[in-house]
Order: sequence, then structure tokens, then C-alpha cells
Amino acid sequence: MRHSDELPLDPEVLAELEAIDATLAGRIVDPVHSELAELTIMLAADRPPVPDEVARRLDARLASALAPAARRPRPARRRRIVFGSAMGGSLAAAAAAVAAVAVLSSGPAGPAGTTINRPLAANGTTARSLASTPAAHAPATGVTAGPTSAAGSSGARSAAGPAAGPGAEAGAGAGAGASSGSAPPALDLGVAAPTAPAPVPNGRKVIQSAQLQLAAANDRVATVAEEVFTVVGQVNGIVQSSSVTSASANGGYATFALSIPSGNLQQAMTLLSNLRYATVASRTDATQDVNNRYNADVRALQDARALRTALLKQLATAYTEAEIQSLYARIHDAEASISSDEATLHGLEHQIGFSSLSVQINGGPVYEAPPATGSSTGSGGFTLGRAAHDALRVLTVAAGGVLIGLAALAPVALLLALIGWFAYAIRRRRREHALDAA
Amino acid sequence: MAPIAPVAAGDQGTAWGRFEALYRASRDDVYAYVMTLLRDAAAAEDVTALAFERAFRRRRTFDRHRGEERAWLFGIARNAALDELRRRRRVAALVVEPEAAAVEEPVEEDDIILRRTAVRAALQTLSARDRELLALKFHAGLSNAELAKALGVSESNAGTILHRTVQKLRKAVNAPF
Repeated sequence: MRHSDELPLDPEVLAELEAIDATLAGRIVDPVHSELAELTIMLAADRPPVPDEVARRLDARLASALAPAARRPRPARRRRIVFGSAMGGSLAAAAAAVAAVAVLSSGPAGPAGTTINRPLAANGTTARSLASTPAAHAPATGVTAGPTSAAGSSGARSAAGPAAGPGAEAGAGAGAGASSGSAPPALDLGVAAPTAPAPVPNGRKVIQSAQLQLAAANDRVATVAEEVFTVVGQVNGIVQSSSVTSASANGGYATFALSIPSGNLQQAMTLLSNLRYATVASRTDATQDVNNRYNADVRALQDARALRTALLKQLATAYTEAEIQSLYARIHDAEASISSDEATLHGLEHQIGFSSLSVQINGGPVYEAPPATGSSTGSGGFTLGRAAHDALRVLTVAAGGVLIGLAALAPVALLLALIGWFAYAIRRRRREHALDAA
Repeated sequence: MAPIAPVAAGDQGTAWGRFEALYRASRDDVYAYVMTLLRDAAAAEDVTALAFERAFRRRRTFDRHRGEERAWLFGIARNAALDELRRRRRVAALVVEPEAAAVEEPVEEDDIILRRTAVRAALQTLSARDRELLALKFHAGLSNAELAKALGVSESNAGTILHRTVQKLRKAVNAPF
């Protein structure tokens, strides 16, 4: 059959078909086709007539079956409207649910683990930014204040990536190095988290250091770097080295090696954590107790000075040239020792007095909300910027939900279409089979 | 629809008015086609009514770009008739259907009567599929394009099949008893 679809009809066949049509239309045909015309007339005349009674019954049946439906004003359209209303209501309810989920999940500090940036306010926003993610939190082990270790102790609080919360302190004991805290339960989003723990000022000598990784939009890396310089100036710190790389594509990068007066370290960390165009990707606070080492250095210096004084006294009473020369040599050694001890002690005091702070800014496609106008108190007030941000987030979540729904429905729709096609093919085959078997 | 009155001018454009016009123009053709196919007056009446009901309910699925209304209607009628054939196959063993009521025929000349009898006898030798094709063409009066649409084949294919069937019938009519 398919083959004959593509072939033109034979002229003779075509002529006979036209003769049939002409006969049925009542036209005169070529005498060559008279037999065919007669057969056509016979067949047409043999058409089963519709008895009047049957015709009346058919009219009545269809009138009773269809007229009420026909009298209804556009039933299908009304059904469509009703269906549309139901669909609209369902969609509205779904949209409301999505919006509610999005708003609730974003909250004042954004959802946990999200990479969406939000300008951080100046005050208390360290806690906010930290609280926006599951914060690392472990009980302090007395590292920074614990005087139990003879050789000093060290601790580190680390909160990396999404877990940018107050770090865990760990690593008590001699020689313990900095270690990262384990993932803790999330902080209460509604309560401002405390700032990063600082050593308790109990008179012990402690070296502090910190590392801060910030994430910023690629075109904001230079701006954030400028802000870092400003913060360093505010806390009387020193920029020991810096490197700022701006790039049009992803690749903006900046590093800073800072020396911050230890008393201002927490303030510096707070300010750096709240830069307008950056978010904290990770933060590490480390402490090392050097009290014993400091005391030992002090004692060594005192001993060297005492030795030098004693040697000077001996020199005053020396008579022989050899004795004098020997004392000079020992005094020289003592003074060298004093100088060395003083340098060591001075270096240690500098380490104690000035904390090293490493800041790294990584550029990337980070969303930036419009900067807050006016004072950036920023902990939950309604602003147009925040409303726009929330609205955008709702739309984003809704679009994501729709996409996920479509992705889930696509195979189902394909399957249903296949089933429908198979059902249609089977039904058609059965009908044709019924005709063949009749 | 009991009074199948001429369609009023105001109803011409409405769905009901158009459907009524289609019903009036096609009722007898559909019945003749179904009757030829089923050979049962009662079943033909039921199937004809069913076909028009389905057509009315599915009138929004009709696409004028895909063919004329009559071809679309006969496609529906054909499906209804084939469904009836399937149903009859299932119940054939249980129910013996009565013969269709004899139709009064006008008095004709002997020669014509003989010729008509020969044609009817020849029709009985054809398969149901061939009889259906002849019914669509000669009883329902479908054009070759409408025939193709109703059967789901191309127009040239429909012409070829029709010609082949007519040739079969001619041979059967001219065959010696």
C-alpha cells in the first residue's frame, strides 16, 4: 500500500475512476465505460434506504441526547474556565507555598549553606554572617587560657566555607598544632552569635594568628582590597605584603599578610568579616601559649646580664694581663649572649604584641545585593533592597521548582504519550482485524 | 433535534447549527454505509446514532485543514461500526441476531432484477473490507479524497484500492454461475 502511495495512477485506472464519479454525478460517460457505469448505477441503487421510522427514531435519539448539551452555553469552554480556575487556584497555592518556604528558609540571615551573598552590616554581623551557615562550634579546651601546659599550648578555631562560624578550639597540650574544629550544630539564626573567641587576658603570653578567606564578585576584588587597607589603618596594623590581581573573568585574587596589634585583632577580624562587597568563606583563629618560653627567654637574658655584671666586677680586680684578656673574652661572649637573648625576647614580644593575619580574597560570580543605604545596622529591618532580594530569591526558587517539576514530568509525559500511542495502535489494529474477520 | 427543521439563519454559524446541517446531509449516507457493513438494521441504527453523538462531542477536534467534515464524520462512523463488529464477534456465540427486515423493492423488469441479483451475489463473494470500500463510495457517496481520509490512506492509494475492488466485483458479476 505504501508503495502505491508513491506511484501515479495508471491512465486507464484514472479514466475508470473518473467514469465512476461521472456516473454517480449523473453525467454521461464514454461508451467504453458503459459496463462500469451500469455497475455503478446498480451499486448506487442498491444502497440501503433509511426507513422513515428509523429516520424518526434517529432524529429523536439525537435530539434527546445532544440538544440539551447543545443548549448549554458553551459547556466545553465553561469546563475549561472551571478547569482553569482550579488550575489557577492550585498554581496560586503552590506559588504561595513556594514563596513561604523560600521566605522562611532565607530568614534574616539566609539559608544554611547558601552561596548567595548579602552585604553584611557593621555591628553584630560577624555573628550574622557566621550564623548564616552551620557554624563550627566545639567546646573550648582551655587552650588559650589554660596554664596547664608547661611547654605552652596552641589552639586554632577554624570555620571554613559554609561552616563559617565561631571556630572550635582544639589541640591542647604540648606541641599541639592548629587543628580545625568539627562540624557543630547550627546556631540559632535568630540570635546574634558571639564574635570569635579571644584569649582570656590573664597575663599569660599568647601568640595569636588568624586567616580569613573572603569571597567577592570578580569586579569587586579591587574594591574589597581597598577596604582591607582601610581596615588595617583603622586598627593601626601593618600591611607586610599584599598582592591584588584584577581580572575580567573569574580569577580576581588578592592576598594580604598583615600584622595587627593583638589587642585590635578581634576588631580587625570583625571589620574584615563585614566588608560591604565580600562574604566570609572561611576563618581560622589560632593561638599559641608561649608563656613558658617567654619566661625562659627572660631568665636567660637575666642570667646573661648577671654574668656580664659579675665578669665586669672580676675585671675590676684583675691584675695580670692574661686574666684581663680572659675576662674581656668572657664579657664579650656574655654581651653577645645578651644581645642574642634580647633579640629573641624582642621577637617573641613582637609576636605576642602583633598578631599575624592572612587575608585572601577570591573573586567569583557572587551575587551582590544592592548596598544598603544609610546606616548599615542590618539585622532584620525591612528595606527595599532586602525586599527586592527576597523577591528575587522567591522567583529564583519558584523557577527552580518549575524546572525540577518539568524535569520530573517530562519522562512521565513521554511515557504516557507512548502508552497512548500504543493503545491507539492496538485499538486500530483490533478494529481492522474485526473488519477482516467479518 | 426531533423537529429537524431547516437551519435558521441565525444558527448557521453556531456549532449546533453546523452540526445539524451535517446531520441532515449525511444521516442517510452514514446509515447506508453502516447498514452495508453490519447487515443489521437495528445495529445500523444504533451505530449511526452513536457516530453522530461522538461526532458532536468531538466536534472541537475537527480540523478543516485536515479534510472535509464528511470524511471526518465517516472516520468516526467507521470506528463505531468496527467497534460494533468487534462486539458482535464477542457475543456471536451467544446471540443469534435476527435477519434484517426485508425492504420492499419496486417492481422492475426481469432483466434488471437478474442483473441486480447478480451484483448482490457478487458482493457477497467479496471480503468485508472490499464491501466496506464499495459502501463508502457507492452508498455513502464519498469522493476519493474523502474515502482516503476515512480509511487513513493517501488519495492515490484510495483510488488504486477502489479500482482493484471494482475490478474484483466486475469479475464476480461476470463469472458463470
